[in-house]
Amino acid sequence: MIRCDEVTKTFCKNGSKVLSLDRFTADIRDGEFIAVRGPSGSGKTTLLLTLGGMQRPSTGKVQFDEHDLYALSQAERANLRSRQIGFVFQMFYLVPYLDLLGNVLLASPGKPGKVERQRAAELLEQFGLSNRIAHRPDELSAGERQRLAVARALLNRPKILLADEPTGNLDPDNAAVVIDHFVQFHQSGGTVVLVTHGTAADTFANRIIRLNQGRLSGD
Amino acid sequence: MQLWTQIICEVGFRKLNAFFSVLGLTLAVIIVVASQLIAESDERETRRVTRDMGFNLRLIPAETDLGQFYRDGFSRFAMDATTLDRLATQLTNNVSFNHLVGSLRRGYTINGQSILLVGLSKTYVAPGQGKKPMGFVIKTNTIHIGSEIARVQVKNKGDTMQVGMQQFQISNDPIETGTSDDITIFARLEDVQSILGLSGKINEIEAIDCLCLTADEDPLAILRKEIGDILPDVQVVHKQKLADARAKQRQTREKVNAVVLPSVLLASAVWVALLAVFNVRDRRQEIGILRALGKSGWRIAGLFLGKAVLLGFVAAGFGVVFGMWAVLEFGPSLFPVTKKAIQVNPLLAFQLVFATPLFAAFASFIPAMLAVSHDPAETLRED
Ligand SMILES: Nc1ncnc2c1ncn2[C@@H]1O[C@H](COP(=O)(O)OP(=O)(O)O)[C@@H](O)[C@H]1O
Ligand SMILES: [Mg+2]
Repeated sequence: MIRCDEVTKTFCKNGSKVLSLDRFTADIRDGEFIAVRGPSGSGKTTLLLTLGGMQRPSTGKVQFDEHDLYALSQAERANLRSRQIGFVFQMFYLVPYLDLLGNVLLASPGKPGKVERQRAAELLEQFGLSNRIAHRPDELSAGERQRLAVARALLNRPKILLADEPTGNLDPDNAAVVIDHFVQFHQSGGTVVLVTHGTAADTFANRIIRLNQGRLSGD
Repeated sequence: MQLWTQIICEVGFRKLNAFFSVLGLTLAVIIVVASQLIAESDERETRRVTRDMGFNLRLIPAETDLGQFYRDGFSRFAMDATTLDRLATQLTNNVSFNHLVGSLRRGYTINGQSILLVGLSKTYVAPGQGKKPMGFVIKTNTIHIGSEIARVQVKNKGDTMQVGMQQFQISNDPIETGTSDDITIFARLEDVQSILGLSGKINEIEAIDCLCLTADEDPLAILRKEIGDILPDVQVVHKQKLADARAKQRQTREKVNAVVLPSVLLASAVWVALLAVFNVRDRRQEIGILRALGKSGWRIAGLFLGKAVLLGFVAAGFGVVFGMWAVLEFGPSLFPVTKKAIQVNPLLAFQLVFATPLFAAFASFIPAMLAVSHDPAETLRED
């Protein structure tokens, strides 16, 4: 579903160049559960943002289904992101002034209708948050916040979930709950790319990609 | 999620930011409202004053000797009444004078009392200016008499009085004014023309100059040129004191409009823009995640511009209500205007309700563009 072809990303930092991704080539197939591992600064986040159309590579090509991702216009890329890709981040990035329902519905591409509201309510129910629908994110525990972020990512039934260390701020119990939701998504046919430090997901992942200094060092 | 719902939630969440934006905008609206209302009431006041004090331009036949004119209060020479018509037709041409009244004035003797007899034409006003004619209107077969005439001739309002061959009814309460009006009889122009046997003649045209000439433009020179172009055979006398006072008022007002108002608006715009920049900085993570969720730049810009519009509406409401109230309440004690000259201005209120949100959106334009151009990858990679 996503093909990376010689993807390179360089940053200029204080005049010196940083190679964040170095001729990364890989094929992510429909229905895979991929764990991305590697030391800090090895380019994991860069890879994830590049896969999701959030960061244009310096050179190389990213093919998303039939689209050359970075040949699309910004609006087309945004549209594709809103309908087919779900992001989950370590820092949750919830909108502090919206209640739980509002945060989930924020993912709706247009004006949320009855269907979207129904779906959001179901997700919150499924994630054990239905009794807190009118609360704001700052009233939630870290585990609850991340569950909310996953619920938001799933609202539009994306084909792929891109998660950047989603359990990085969670205790093992909460981490297990969140990973479990990824597993369920995978079992229902979704594709998952999970950047992780820990090994919690290793038993579920059917493929592990290792990065080192921006290079693919193990697949 | 709908844009406006989101904006309202955010305003409710970051109350302080919204409060200070509204405060800055409200103060600007108040100052605009106050200066405008004061300026309008000032103008109304000036009109009232000049109506009380009469005309400040006197046009008399060119050959008049000013010594004689000032001594007697009228010119010994006369001009055709058509002169007045010629001048009146020019009122459409954006000239610097208005309110033309032709008159025929002569010294006269009634039962041994020497008086001034003045015949007044109707008032010619520039079209579309709908203002009340200045001075008084004299009805057919009536006259206005001065208090000294009333005393000597033992006449009062409603009495009849003979002037020349004609009988007139006195239509005014003769009140002492301490001016030559006290020994003057005001009658209709036609009546005075026939009494004096000077039919078709006048010897003065009174006018009032517009409120538009400032002292450094040398209003008298401009007026003399304008009038001289139309009527080469008149001379123009200008009551300088009255004209000066009005020009000074006008200049003060223009200074306020030229310096104070733009400064206030600029300060307000900078204030609103700064608060919007802080708001954008506070919301970088939100902008990042909105991008990750596939929201467009329009939507991001809409969040900030929409907020500005919303706060602008609120500020316009507060500012208009509070500004108008403050002027009505404190205007008379702070500015040289009387309470009855101050009036609320619904049109101004209406304009501000639309202008303030526009202004706020304009001030927030650069911050909104900052938000749109913000690279979401920068924030989303934080760990
Ligand atoms: N905006 C940037 N400017 C300069 N260097 C950057 C920028 N973003 C990332 N990098 C560098 O790119 C490398 C990879 O970063 P990242 O993808 O975040 O790694 P990881 O997520 O594996 O920790 C790091 O060395 C980082 O310092
Ligand atoms: Mg990272």
